[in-house]
Amino acid sequence: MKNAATIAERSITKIGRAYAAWIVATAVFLSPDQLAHSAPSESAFTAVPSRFQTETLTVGSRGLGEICLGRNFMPDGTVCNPAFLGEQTENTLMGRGFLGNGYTAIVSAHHFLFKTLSRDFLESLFKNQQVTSLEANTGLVFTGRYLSASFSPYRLQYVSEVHNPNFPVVAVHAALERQLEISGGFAPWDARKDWRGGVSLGLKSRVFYRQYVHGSFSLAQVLIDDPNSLLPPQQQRGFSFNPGVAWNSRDLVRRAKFRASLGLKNLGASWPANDLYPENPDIESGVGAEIPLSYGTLIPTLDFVDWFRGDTLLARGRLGLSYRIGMLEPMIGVNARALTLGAQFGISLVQGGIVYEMFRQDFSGRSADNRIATELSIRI
Amino acid sequence: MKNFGTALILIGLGAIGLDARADTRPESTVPQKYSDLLEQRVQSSSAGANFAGWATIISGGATLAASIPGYYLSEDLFAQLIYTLGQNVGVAAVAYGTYQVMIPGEEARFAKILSGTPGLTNQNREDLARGFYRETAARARNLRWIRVISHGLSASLNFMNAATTGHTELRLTLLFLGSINTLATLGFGFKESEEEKLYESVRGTQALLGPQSQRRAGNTLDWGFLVGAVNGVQIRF
Repeated sequence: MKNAATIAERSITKIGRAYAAWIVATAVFLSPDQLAHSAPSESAFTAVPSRFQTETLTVGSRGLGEICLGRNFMPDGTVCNPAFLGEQTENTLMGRGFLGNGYTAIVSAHHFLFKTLSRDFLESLFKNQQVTSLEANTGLVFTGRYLSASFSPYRLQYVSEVHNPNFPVVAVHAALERQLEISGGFAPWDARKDWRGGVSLGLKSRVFYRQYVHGSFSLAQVLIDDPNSLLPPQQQRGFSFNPGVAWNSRDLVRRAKFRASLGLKNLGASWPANDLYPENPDIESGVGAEIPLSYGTLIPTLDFVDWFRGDTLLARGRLGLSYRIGMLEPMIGVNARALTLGAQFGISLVQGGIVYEMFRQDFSGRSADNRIATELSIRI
Repeated sequence: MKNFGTALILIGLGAIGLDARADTRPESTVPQKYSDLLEQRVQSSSAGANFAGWATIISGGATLAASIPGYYLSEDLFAQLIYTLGQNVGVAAVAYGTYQVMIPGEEARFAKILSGTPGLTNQNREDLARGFYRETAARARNLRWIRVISHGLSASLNFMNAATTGHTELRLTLLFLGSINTLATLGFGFKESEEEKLYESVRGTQALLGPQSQRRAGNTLDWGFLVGAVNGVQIRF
C-alpha cells in the first residue's frame, strides 16, 4: 500500500512539474515579439472603459484595486487565484449582487440591448448629464477545497457620454454578459514547515456570452436615420483558460505568511473576433503577505499584470491593502485608473460591502470622477 | 414504581460506577485519552473564542461607528441600504462577540461540569468524556445525513425545474444550483465530519493499550453508558 501511495505521489509530482513547465514554456512563447500589436487605446469608445474589463466584479476586487493573484482569499471569502484553492477549509455557496454608480441607467441599458429604439429615447440621452454609467452584477459562487465554480447570469455595463456641446454626439457602450467559471487547484508538493513552504497549481476555465452595443451617433443622425440602425446589438461567445502556479510560505517572522503567484491569462478563443474585446493572452503575477497583528491581520498585495500588453509600467501595477479584524475588512486599493476605499463586513449569512472610487479616469481622458459601488451577498 | 425510579437514578450512576469498579488498575494507570483531549481542546478553544470574541466586538463597534454617519452623509439609495445593514450587523456583531467571550461552548461547559463534580475518579471522567465525544460524533453523523437528503432533494428539484423552464437565465441558474447541490450531496455523503473523525481517531489509539483495556474498550466504547446502566438496573433489582 505504501508503495502504491508513493507511486501515486510521484505521479502527481510529475504531473505537477509538467504543468508548471508548460506554464513557463507558454510564458516564454508569449514574448513581446509575438504580441507586437499594441494595447487598445484608452480613448473611450475605441475601447471598453477599463472599469468594465475586470473579470470578477465584486466590492472586494474593486476595493483592493483589482488585485487577485497575490491573495488567497478575497474579503468575501471566495478564492480569486485558483492555485490557492487548496487552502480553503470550508464549503460555501454564496449569492451576491453588485451595483455600481446608481441604478437609473438600467432601463437605458436594457433599451439599447433588447428593445426597439425610439427617437424620443435617443433624444433624451442628449439631455442627460455628461457621463452616465452603471455596473451591475448578480451571481452564484460555490467555493470548496480544490474546487470553485461561479455563475453570473447577469452582468450589465453601461456608459453614455455626451461630447461636443455645439454639435452634440453621444457615445454609448452597453453590454450584458453571462459567465460560467470553474476553477481547480491543488498542492502536489507538501508544504514544508520552514520558509520554503509549498507550491500549488491552479486552473481557471471560463465560458462567456455577451450581447453589446458600442458606438456613437449625433443628434442629426437621430433625426434623419432609423434609430435601430445606429447601434445594432452584437453578440460574442468565447472561452478561456487561466493556469497558474503559486508559492505559499509557512509561518515566518512573527507568524507572517508570504505568497507569490505567476499565471497566464486568456488562453482561449472568442467569436466573432472583435478588437473591442481582444481577450489576448498575457502573463500576470502577484506577491502578497499576511501579517498578524495584536487583533486582526494586515494583508498587503501587489499584482503585476499584462506583462506584454500593459500601456506603461504604472498601468501594470495594482496595489491592495486590507486589515481583517473579526467581521470587518476595511481596504484600500490603488491602480493606474483609480484610488479606491472600501469595506466588507458580515456575520453569519449576510455580508455587505461598499467601495468609493476616487479620481477614477476611464473616459476619454476627461477629468476624473468619483463613484460609489455597493454589494450585498448571502452566504449558505 | 419506587424501584423503577431508583433504577432510573442508578442508570447514570451505574454508567459511571460499575465501569470504574470493573477496572481494578490503580488510578494513575487509567488511560486518559478522551478527558485529556477534552482538556486540551477546551484550553485552546477558550483562548481562541476569547480572542475571536473581542475581535468581533471591536469590528462590530467600528462598523457601527462608521455606518451611522455614513447613512446620514450618503445620498445614494443603495449606499444607505448598505449602511443600514452595517448598523444592524454592527450591533449583532457586538452581541455575538460578547456571546463568544461570555458564553462557553459545549465542550467547555461539559469540562466545567466534570471538573466541578466532586467524587469523580479518573475512570469516571474518561468514560464521561468518551460518552460526550461519542454523542457529539453521532449527532454530527445524523446532521450529515440530514444534509445529504436535503441537498439531494434540492438538486432533484433544481434539475427538474431547469428542465421545464423556457427562460435561459433561469435554466442556467437552476442547473448551476443543481450541480452545486449534487456536489454537496456527494461531499456530505462520502466525507466524515470533523467530529466523527476526531472520535474515531482517538478511538483508534485505544488499541495501543493493554489487553485488559482493549477488552474494556470493546465493551464500553460504543455502549459504555448502556452497559453501565443495564448493570446498575440489574444490580438494584
